[in-house]
Amino acid sequence: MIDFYSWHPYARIAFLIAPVAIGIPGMAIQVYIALYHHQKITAGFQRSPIVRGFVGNWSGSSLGARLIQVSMMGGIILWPGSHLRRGTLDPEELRSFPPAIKRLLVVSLVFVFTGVAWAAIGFSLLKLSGVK
Amino acid sequence: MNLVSLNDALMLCHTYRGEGQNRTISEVRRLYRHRVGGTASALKVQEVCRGGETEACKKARFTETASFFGGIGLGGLGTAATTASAPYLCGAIGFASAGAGGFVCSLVLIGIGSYISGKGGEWGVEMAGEEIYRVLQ
Repeated sequence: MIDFYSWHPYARIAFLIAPVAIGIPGMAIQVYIALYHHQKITAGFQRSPIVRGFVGNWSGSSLGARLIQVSMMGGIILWPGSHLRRGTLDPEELRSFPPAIKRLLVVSLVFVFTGVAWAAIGFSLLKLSGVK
Repeated sequence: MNLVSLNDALMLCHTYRGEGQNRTISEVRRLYRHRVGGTASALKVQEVCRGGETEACKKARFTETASFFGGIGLGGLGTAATTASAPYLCGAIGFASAGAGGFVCSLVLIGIGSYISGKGGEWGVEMAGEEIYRVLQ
């Protein structure tokens, strides 16, 4: 399927390291949000069961708990459609979410998902090609 | 954090006993929890390098270090990605408003995501380490 070993060695190294290299800036943005904007993220969602439930389950002030809350809020804000249809996310609260943090959350998740998708597709293709 | 095999745990216990230190089970467990990723890699390098600074030993240093950081790096990314997807995916299978079901669902998803991406990262970045070693030769 892929003749991996016919590639230039630098291309092989870049291909293998790319998922982590792309994803790490996304994680760094999430750490920044967790450290400096954590309060603003969940505070505005008093009438949204999806936020109170899912994000509230992981409450805590440790960096790990904060990172999980940031990631979950990112997912809810990136794909709000199904939550709005079910009525578990208040549209007014979603609209009043700080736009600067929303932008940061979306950018961070784009980096993270690009890295994960690269690894999932790229590494699977290598495995299927018999690369060991 | 990645799940690790029983074999790694046994190797670690063996190492602590081998060093002549009488550690209690809880001490070993604590050390195991904090150091197992790096320790498993370090033990592999130690094993290969027992015969001196051979080619295999030099190569193992690259591949095991790369494998360790790849596991942590991609494991973290996979955890973040599945955490972000959890409310959407759990909602799609009927856990729309959290509760115990939603919590278990997100916990299972995050666990699976973390494990698979950690293993993938170990495999992929270990290969990168091997390639870097070849380039440097």
